[in-house]
Amino acid sequence: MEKALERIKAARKVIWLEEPPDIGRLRSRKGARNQGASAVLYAATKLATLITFLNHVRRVAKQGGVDPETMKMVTEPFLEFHADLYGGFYQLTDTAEVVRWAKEALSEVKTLEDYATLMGELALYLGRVDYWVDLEIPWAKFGQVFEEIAARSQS
Amino acid sequence: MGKEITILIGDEECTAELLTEQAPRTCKIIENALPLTGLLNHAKLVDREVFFAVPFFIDEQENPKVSEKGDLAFWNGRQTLCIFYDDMVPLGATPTFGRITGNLEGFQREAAKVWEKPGTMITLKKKEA
Repeated sequence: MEKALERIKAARKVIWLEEPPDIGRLRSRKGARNQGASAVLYAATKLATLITFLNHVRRVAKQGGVDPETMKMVTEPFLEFHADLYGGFYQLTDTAEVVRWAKEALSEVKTLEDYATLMGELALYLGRVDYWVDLEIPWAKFGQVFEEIAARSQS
Repeated sequence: MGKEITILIGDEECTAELLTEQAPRTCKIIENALPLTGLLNHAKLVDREVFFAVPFFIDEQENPKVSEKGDLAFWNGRQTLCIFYDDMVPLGATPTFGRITGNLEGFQREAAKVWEKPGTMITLKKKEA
């Protein structure tokens, strides 16, 4: 597990202030009607889903009283599902790979403390990716256009 | 008076006080992590709040309070440092560990731009003697 932790930590440090290549790939991802907004918005929501999950299960593990094997069984398919989404739907291929490092390292997890550490490290990495994706969403313009459309639909 | 730290945001240099009496353990973790550098995103539900990711957890919820203008808070739902730069309606009580005490106006000028143009670099560092 130590090797996976080091790899995830190193990957996080690389993208902390430097835009990850995944963001360039996401930017070029076109969805329905050849527009990119839905891919960016959906990527943000799917990242947030896994981050929320990771923070939740980390907290549960820190509280104790649960079986690490059960936690692993719940977590493994959830990580695989999201790795598939990130790589396949949104071209976040590096992010998908990091999620798979964590998934594979689950087999080496023996204790709740190990589990919390691994989930925490992955949450820190994904949290940073998600805030990069957030920078791709033109919230100011989006909010303005949304209000204009809402006003028109009411008139 | 708690320890003072320096905040660099855009072209502005500001001072913040760590609330070492109200949130001693959180302040210690933050102080030990300095310098902290990140890229600012703007909050979407709360107006006049900017935030950036930090690479650590603070599990203890010290000094939760309804945020006010100038407050520095730690949101552990997402390992995020939040700075409330002007009057706003917060979502609830947030563990608060500091407040901007010097050049809040400069911070506000830079932070307000983040809504239109996110990604401004911010650094929290120890105050030089």
